[in-house]
Amino acid sequence: MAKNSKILVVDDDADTLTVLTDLLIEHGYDVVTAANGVEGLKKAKKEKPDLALVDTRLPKMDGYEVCRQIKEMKGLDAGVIMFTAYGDAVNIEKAREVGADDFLAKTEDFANMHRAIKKLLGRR
Amino acid sequence: MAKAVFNRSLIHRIQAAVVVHDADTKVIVCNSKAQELLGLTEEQMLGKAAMNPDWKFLGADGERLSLEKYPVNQAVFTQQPLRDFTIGIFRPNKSDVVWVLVNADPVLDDKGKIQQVIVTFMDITDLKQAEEALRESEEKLVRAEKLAILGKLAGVLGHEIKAPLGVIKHSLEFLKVRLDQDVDAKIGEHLNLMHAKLNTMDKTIDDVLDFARTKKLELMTVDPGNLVEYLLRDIPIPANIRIVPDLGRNLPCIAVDERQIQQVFRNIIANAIDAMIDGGTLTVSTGKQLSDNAGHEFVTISFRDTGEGISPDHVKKIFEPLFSTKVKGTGLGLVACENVIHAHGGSIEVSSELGKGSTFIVKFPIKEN
Repeated sequence: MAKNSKILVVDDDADTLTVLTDLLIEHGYDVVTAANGVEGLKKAKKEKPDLALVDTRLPKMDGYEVCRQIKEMKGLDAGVIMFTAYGDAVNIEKAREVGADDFLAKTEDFANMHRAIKKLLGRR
Repeated sequence: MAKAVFNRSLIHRIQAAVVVHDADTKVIVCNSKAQELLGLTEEQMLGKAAMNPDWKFLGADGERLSLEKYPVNQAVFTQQPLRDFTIGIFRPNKSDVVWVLVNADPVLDDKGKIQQVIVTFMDITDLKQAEEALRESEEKLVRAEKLAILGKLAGVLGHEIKAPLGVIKHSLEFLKVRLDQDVDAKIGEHLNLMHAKLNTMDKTIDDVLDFARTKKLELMTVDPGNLVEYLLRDIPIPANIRIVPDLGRNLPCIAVDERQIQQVFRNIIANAIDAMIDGGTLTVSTGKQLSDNAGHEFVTISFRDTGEGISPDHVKKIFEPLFSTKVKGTGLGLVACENVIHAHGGSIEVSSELGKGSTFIVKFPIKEN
């Protein structure tokens, strides 16, 4: 049986973590979560996820820095999708600069989110 | 005789304007200053009554002054002095208005019957213009404050509402996935209904966020005719609306952020369509105009609809944040349009007549080579 892809979700909002975890598990993924930027990096190093969903606004370390460090982490080749309530051009540009593969609004339909996840995992 | 000459000389030397009317309001004396301010010669003024159509005055509110409000008529009617009454004077062959502060004093005989009315007035145009400039800058300040508050509100909406909205939406999507196998049709219908309404809320919040965001302009040089032509080609128009393009060719180019300006035009067209509930015609024209003030040339793009029109009261407020004439309007669309146009160094103005329609004219400075 093929191993499930592992997704790290980093968000300080517990409800967002719950609902995304349930949806991702329902769609056949393994999920690990972190509630702040520092914890997100630790989990990335330890769990070696195939993909990370990272909120832009996080306590302790913001999402852009988390993204940048995940992308530079040795021995890890994870796609990063940043998601936020502030989907404007400035934030999208900032996400691109730190190496994010995609940028989604928090209210994006899960179908679109899933499409983006599958696209990134398919590249690996 | 000497006394009369002296009086005449005195009246003509006074720096205030003086006009003396007889009991029938006909002018019997007018000094040099009065002639200058009214733009008429002594010959043109003498014998002219208040009801003569050559007099054209404005009230302090900028509206045409009715005949009974003319200072001389007020003094005749009330038989009381009129003090510090502001009027604007239209002078023959002049486009600007002279603003004056008027006093009128009735001269009564022993029986209390009017003999004359002495009207004196002083030029307060500079003062009036300074007041107008002050009022405009105060309005700009209020508007800037409103926009700042809206910006903060948008920030709160973005963070405090959009995030939980995402949770609700994804939670609902989870339920749909779980229940998909053998869901009751009615339950499925309600889940879809909630999903659709959440998307509507999300879109409304995005509109507010879009309004509050300052977007960097990505300018490119475009031909105004092509800009409008491309837009009209792919904009959905209801069957009962006729679009009439009247696009001037060989117009000078303008520097615009095409995406943002197309959004502005889409907004204006959407408003025009909303105003023509029973159908109508939208004429989109392009042209060139010389500005009045500094002599700069502008390209104009105008949108003329045959819709229900906007009342004069509403026209004044139409670019105010949160003001809307639509039942479901947010009052942000046209403000956002105006912000984008101003960022391009352009302007937008509207004229409208109830029952006949509205015209929105957007002006862009011509790109210098």
